[in-house]
Amino acid sequence: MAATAAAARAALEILPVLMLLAALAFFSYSDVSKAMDAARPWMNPVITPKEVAALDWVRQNTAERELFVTDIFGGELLMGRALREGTEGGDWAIVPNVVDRMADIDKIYDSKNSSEAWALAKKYGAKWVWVPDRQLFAGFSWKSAQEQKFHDENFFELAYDDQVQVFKVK
Amino acid sequence: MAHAGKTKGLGGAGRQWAGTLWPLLPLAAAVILSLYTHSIVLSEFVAPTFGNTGIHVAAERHFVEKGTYPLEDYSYGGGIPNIYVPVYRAAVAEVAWLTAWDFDFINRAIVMLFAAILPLGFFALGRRLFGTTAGLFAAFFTALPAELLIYTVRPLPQAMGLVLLPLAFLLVFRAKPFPALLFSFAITLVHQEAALFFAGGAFAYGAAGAALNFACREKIDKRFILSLACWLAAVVTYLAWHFSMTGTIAFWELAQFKHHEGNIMEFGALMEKTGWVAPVLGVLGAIIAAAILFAKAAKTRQDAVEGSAAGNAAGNAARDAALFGLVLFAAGIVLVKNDLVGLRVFMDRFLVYLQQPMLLLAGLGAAKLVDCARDIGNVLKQRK
Repeated sequence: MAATAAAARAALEILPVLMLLAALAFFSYSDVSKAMDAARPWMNPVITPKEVAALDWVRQNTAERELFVTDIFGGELLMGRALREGTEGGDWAIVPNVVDRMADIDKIYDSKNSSEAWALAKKYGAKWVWVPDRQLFAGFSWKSAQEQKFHDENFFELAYDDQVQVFKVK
Repeated sequence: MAHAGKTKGLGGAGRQWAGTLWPLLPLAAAVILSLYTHSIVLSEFVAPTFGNTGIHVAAERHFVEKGTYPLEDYSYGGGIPNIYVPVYRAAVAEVAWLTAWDFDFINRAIVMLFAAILPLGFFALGRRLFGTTAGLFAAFFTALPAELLIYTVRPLPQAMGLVLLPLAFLLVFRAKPFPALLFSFAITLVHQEAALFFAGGAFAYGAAGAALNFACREKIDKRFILSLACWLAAVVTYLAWHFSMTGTIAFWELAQFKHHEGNIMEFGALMEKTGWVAPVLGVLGAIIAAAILFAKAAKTRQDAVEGSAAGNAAGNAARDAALFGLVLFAAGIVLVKNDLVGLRVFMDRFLVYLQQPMLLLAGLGAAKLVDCARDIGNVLKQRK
């Protein structure tokens, strides 16, 4: 009897603490779930396995630091895994006239005009154009490349084609 | 006395467990929770690419393959000086060089390592400032803000900066000159934004602490002098780095300043990126810290005026800890709302730095609630 009363007193003593911890755990669980839901989209790699596979060709057929027309993710793929350079990708804060550059690269992918795309690629000294089979982000919005213009052999030459197309800039 | 009562009848190991080792269990749980939330870094076929992770890997790979830090940046077609601070990149490159592991593997392993250290750092700092219970809550609360997870779950220098900041602040608060200055130097060369928060916080704490000492008629504590020294070390380190890479110290000429990169932080966005528990308990903790600060400061000043012996070391430590939490919180708010002073740079990016003192204060708030619940329990027990 005395033992039961002592146990009841002990339970009463810790009950408010347990209730508080339970309430904190309940609300914290909700915040943790929301945090993970918010973080998951940042894990989207954007780049495709075929782009990673194409880097073998890049290493064998291009020189280090050679410049490709790329969106941001394509550029970072090339610089991070092959030490090649993209027209976009990396630390934009240190780049002069970066907003004009983004507009130009956006136009290279978005334009239907081969000569316009070629002239802009030349303006930046690009030797290749990276056209993956995915949406591209050149700084302003996600869009698909108007890829048909790169098949104009007066300006470009298809050099690699396996769900990523690499065109040589003539 | 409470511990003595609880440990009566236990053996030596039992007494040690109940007295000092019990926090290890909840601390381990906090680390496991952090590992769980960060495990999403393992979910895709490559390490995360969002957040310009590739530019860091480029520098790391260059480091390993060429044996030097690239002086010319790979960004946006290259041809420009590489001004990015090198410590994080050098650390990853060194691991790659020593192990020959793949960069994807190393980067994800480093994220998991940071995930384990993050709650430990908050526990260590929170415990030092506000006690063991507050430190444990702060360790758990690192899993709550979305923004803190987003910036520590990707292999970025920001992640390393965020993990090192609580440790650096701990060294400053403990007034350990050599390690604190070493961390000031290291953090500055890990990540610029982390360095800005560290330097701003250290300067504000040093200045506010010196003013407090003056108001309480005390001599300036070495903790505050060290704080100012750490600020100076961070400033000199960054300017020296910037000058060595660009030939100028005019960092305000960067595109980020010119184009005012960053979004204004409104209350809704703050809550969305922080959750509810940390801000609510953080505000409660700030109120409690302010009460401690003013009460203890008033007592010290009263003692000084009356000429009584200045033996209130414990009171002064609690006062200085409260000041530390509040000053860092204020520094975070100033950075997040820097648009109000016309700077308009990275307001949203600084939110994750505001969250750091917020979590420490939330730990204090939660610990005080536990104290209240315990008091209620004692009353119930006596009434029964």
